Amino acid sequence: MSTDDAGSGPGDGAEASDGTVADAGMADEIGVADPGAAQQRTDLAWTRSGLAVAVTVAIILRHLWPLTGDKAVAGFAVIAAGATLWTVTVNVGRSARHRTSGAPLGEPACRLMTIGTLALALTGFVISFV
Amino acid sequence: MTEPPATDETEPDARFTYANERTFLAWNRTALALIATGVAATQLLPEFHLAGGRRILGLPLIALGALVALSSFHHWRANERAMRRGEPLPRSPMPLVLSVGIGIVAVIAVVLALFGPR
Repeated sequence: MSTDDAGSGPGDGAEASDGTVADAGMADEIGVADPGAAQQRTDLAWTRSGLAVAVTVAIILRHLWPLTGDKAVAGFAVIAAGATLWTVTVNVGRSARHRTSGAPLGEPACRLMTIGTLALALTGFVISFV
Repeated sequence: MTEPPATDETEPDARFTYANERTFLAWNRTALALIATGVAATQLLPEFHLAGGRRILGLPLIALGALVALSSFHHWRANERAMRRGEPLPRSPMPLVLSVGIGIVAVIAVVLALFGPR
């Protein structure tokens, strides 16, 4: 994972000429801090999370639905459709929020992500006994 | 579950909230990786000589993934609250828990490997 995953602070990604990361105030003064870049990095983080979900679903499907022959094509189509749906939904949701407040997706999206992850954990737990 | 906002809360810099959200997502991807690895261990590895060996290896990973997912959401919310109130960010025990958990699973994997596949 890249270092910007952790979001080192308001000036992350804003490097001064000597290579050190500037703080928010300094970054604002030299005009390199861009809230749009922070938003873009967060959008990309959501997309990476979607890919991680797709991989986890694929591994679970591997057990529930052995991916061989025509079933493999159908299985990959399901995963691809899910990944596409994820990307479109996240981007539409984010665009809607930005038009109104410019805020990150916030608590509803984070809660939904946590519930989905816990559901995948529960599914993995159950199928290990099947 | 959502607490009513205190009167002294202020909206933090958007870049802080974006960074907090990315940290949450990074932890959540870690949780997904643990779950996927746990499922793969229980489903795709060969049987071990030790009965239930694949479950002994996979289930702790899945449980650790669930714990990481839950704690990352709570920590994200605690960070949001602290930023709104201008308080120091709360510390999280999860880096230590994650390291210890992965270390324990690694020891289990070594023991199972010594027994060898059936």
